[in-house]
Amino acid sequence: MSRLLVVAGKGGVGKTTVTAALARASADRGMRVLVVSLDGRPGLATLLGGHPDAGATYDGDVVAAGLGPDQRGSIHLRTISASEALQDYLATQGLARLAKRLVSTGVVDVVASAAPGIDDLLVLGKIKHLVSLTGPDGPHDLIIADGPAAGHALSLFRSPAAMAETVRGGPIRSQAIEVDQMLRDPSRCRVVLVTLPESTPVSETLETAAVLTAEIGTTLAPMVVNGFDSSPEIDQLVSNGRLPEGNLAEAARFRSRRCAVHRRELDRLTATTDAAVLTLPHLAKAGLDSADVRTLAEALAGSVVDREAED
Amino acid sequence: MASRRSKTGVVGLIDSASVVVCCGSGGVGKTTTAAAIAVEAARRGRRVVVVTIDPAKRLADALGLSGHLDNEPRAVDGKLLGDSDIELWAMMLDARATFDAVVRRHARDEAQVGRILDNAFYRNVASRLSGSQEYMAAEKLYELHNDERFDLVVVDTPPSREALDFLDAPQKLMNFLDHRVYRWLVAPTRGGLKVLNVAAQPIIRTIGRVIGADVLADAITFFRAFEGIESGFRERARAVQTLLRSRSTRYVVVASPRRDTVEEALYFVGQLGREGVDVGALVLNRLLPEFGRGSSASARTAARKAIREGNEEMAALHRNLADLRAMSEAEAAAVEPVVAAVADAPVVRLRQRPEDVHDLVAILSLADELVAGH
Repeated sequence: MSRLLVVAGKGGVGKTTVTAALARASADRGMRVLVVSLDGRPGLATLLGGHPDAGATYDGDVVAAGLGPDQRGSIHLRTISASEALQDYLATQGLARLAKRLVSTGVVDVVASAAPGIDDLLVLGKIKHLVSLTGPDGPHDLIIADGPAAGHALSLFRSPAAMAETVRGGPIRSQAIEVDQMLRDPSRCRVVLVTLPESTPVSETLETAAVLTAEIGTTLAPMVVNGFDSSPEIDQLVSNGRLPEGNLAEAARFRSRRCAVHRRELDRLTATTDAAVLTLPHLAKAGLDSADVRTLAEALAGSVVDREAED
Repeated sequence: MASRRSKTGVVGLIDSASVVVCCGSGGVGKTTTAAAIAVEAARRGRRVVVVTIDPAKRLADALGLSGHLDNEPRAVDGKLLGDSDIELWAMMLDARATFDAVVRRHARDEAQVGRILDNAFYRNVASRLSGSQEYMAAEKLYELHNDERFDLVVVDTPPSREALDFLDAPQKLMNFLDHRVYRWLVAPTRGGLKVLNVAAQPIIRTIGRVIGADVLADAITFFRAFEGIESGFRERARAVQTLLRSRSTRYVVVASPRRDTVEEALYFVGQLGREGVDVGALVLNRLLPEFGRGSSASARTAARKAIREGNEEMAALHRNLADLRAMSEAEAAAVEPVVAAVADAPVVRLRQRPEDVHDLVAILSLADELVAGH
């Protein structure tokens, strides 16, 4: 199985929820999971059952432990920003003191703008290092990255190759080449694309999948269709046509139409992609909590996690 | 609701603003809201251009934007909107082309244009500099605002982590130019020193070690080529900033009825408030229909009664109604904080469609709903 899963999807599709559910499903199977947040958005810690502020730092926090059959399963959450990854990188080059000065004077921000793509590369470089430490003797078995929104995910994945092309030599070039190799190595890295069963998100997911596989050479993990609604019972009643008029009928027709759209879009996705496609049930809530994530983790258990383990 | 909160509601905004900026987190329907506002304004007789940042392909097709990536507004066929006299344009922002145009406008001569546009560092900055997309959206907005063909510019903001990136973009660009690294890079040429000497400074040497000496060399070349046009750039950035903060620029905050997007919307409303900018309207998108006035609890009671009476079919129908109403009640609770936060601004509630909005018919029906009840 891959040691790194990068979760990507357009805004509003529930990417962070899926990240949390995947982490929980893996930890419930006894894995020591590291969740890396790339944008430091709040919410992930709470979904994982931790304090809202947990995991907001570079070193992060353990938000769940003692999970799984032999209580080995755990979830560690950390947030990796480009400027901290740069400081870390400079420290490993023996330039720790200078790193501090660069940050305090704001030079780091300008460096990040001065060499576009370097911020992405620094973050991916740090993740590559963490991936190299995974395994029975390391601190973690699996790393799950809550990636940026879909559009940015593509530029994130393109940046190492672009960097390797424009930079003619030096440590950045070798770092870029190594990161690019990791992104194209299915034994180390796969991408979980998250979508909703609606027309535009499915079309965009298929486009993203094509770019990731054909252009960048990344291998896809199973795709996750979030918020999938189905109600055979209501469909049956609507197609029988014996509905009492009024709110009951309107609600039934609305539901049945929505389920039909979801079914159609799921079928279109499945028919077009070679990747496996999983569904997460629609939960009738305006926001999820950690109990919901456990429900979704059960729905995912035996799917992404096992499929990944089979390879 | 909207009419109670404000005498003119969203109609007032559509009739009087000269710029409308739609903002909100990704996936809430900013682009379709912007399109609906533009369509409605055009139907009300205004000459409108809508600028979209990254429309879904079918929406771009619907607006007639496909295959026209020249960074210029295209007229939307009025017949498609049921009125051939309608004056509506649409365009998709090309940040890089906009940046190139800005360079051309401010450069002294063709040679300087060439030196900048051919520079590898510039090519990266133009497309990837953090905030450059936001700045170019603002720049294009300014340009269209001063274009005599249009009375109203409606713009969809790029999805960004920081809600205020758009408002701050001109300032950010000025900061970039003002930054001391920039000064270090440029100052020696002013003092008559050679670029080589810059590269010899310890801090610059370190940066070179991190990002690669050639990237740094490109950057130095870029800043040198840029010299002399930065004052024009700066002046323009100031003018753009003034427009973004003027009374005729109205901000429409878009949110979907989910706790996470409402939190982002609240954050944005707070930021606008701190900047002294009013919220022009709040659009709550994709709310479930209500299915009558009853509650989910009453529908559940009815479902239990049907079970007792042995009527499984009625029980299923009541359960379904209860589930949808429960979702609707959760949505109402989720949006409540942001409705309270926008105080006097009109609130527009748009209903969820069984299909997502990606054609003109659906945009027209959204536009109808936008002004319904006024």
